[in-house]
Amino acid sequence: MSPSSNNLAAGLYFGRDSVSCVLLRADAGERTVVSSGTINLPLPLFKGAPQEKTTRALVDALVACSAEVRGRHIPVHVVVPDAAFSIAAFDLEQVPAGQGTLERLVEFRLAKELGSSAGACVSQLLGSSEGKTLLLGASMDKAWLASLLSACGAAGIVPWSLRPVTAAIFNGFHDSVQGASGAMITMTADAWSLWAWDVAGLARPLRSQWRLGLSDEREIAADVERALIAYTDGHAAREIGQLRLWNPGANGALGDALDQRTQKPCDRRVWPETFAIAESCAASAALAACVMAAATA
Amino acid sequence: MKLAINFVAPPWRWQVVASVAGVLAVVLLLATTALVIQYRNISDDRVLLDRRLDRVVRQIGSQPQVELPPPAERDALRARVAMLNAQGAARGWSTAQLLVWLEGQMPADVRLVSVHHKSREGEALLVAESTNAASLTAFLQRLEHEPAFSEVLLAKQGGRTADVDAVRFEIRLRLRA
Repeated sequence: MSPSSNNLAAGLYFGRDSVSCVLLRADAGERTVVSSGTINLPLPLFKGAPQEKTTRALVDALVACSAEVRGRHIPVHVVVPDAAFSIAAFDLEQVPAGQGTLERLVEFRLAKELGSSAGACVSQLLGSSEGKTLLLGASMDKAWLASLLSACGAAGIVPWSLRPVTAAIFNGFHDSVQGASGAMITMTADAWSLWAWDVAGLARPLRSQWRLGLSDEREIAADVERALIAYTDGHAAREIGQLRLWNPGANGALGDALDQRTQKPCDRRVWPETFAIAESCAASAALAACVMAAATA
Repeated sequence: MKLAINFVAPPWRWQVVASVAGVLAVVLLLATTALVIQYRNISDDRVLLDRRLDRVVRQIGSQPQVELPPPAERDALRARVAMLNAQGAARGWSTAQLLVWLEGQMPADVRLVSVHHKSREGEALLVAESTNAASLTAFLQRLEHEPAFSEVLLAKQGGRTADVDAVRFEIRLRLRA
């Protein structure tokens, strides 16, 4: 059943310290948030190996925040902070034939370049960039992936998709960035990530890290600056036409810190603009997940 | 390009399931229709076949009933037929078998003048001649040693004359049944 047939879609955000669920209704182009809830977790996720009590706490949190979603046939789209994944884009001279070979290549390159251990791997060929084929690869710890999915199953939720939060947000405003290069910082209460895209709209992940604390904006801004300089120095054709900051509900400290380091102020609009739930980054991320799914369905 | 990476397989699309079910329903409906049409055709054929069967049964019923003779009479008749068959059958070798044997066993200087084979009686009358009487004697001995002949009889012996310089044997054979 698609969102258009029952007009409902749900988004779930599994943060390190919280879980958020948003139920969205779309009627004749009008989107309304039916319900939203965020539950803080007693134990952090994605730290070490998943334990039974962590999964149990996750189930309790899901049950508490997704009352209107559980047990119903509603498309549920899950987003997870980029920091929970190992994500990288690879420039390939030649694309290996066969999905299995591609996955092994992604696994090998992720292990070599990011030091990630063997996990569940996915990949996507993005297209031709700078004379090479751009391959996006991502992997996630199998144990944590299984833990998230089993918690969903125990709570009566069937995820339709599970992807990094930036993928949902980038897809949301993808159509508006065609023909203009740029970069986006996605920051929630527990993690942040930086992606850049070229004029063709091909996105590359540059950074994805857990936050060190709630007042680490200056460090993040410095890291962003370093990453962007390294990115633009990597190829003559690379540039950053615009800098976007997705940081709903924040006090603006990161934006101010970024503005001090860039020539023009960053775009601080939150997507989806009209539905942003200002009081919760987690809820906004969940919202972005279901709005993106509704928009691309 | 939008980012399509996804770590879970999406659940079944119920539209797809419904479409497949719809296609199957249409196929089943068509198959049912074909079966109904076929059943009707078979029913029509069955009516015709029933009529033909009735006609045949009536024809058989209208035939006069022939009473079979009692079992004892049938057994006697069967025995007579068997006896006649046994009498009418050839006894011993056929003519062809006899000629094949003669071709193989008759000495080279012995000529076969005539053969008269009565297959029903199991008898044969041979007339053979040779310029050498010993060859004829040897031929007669071969005939006597052949197990297929129960009796070998030198019926007549002709000597050399002024016209014919040869000895002629007329041999009567009785073949084993």
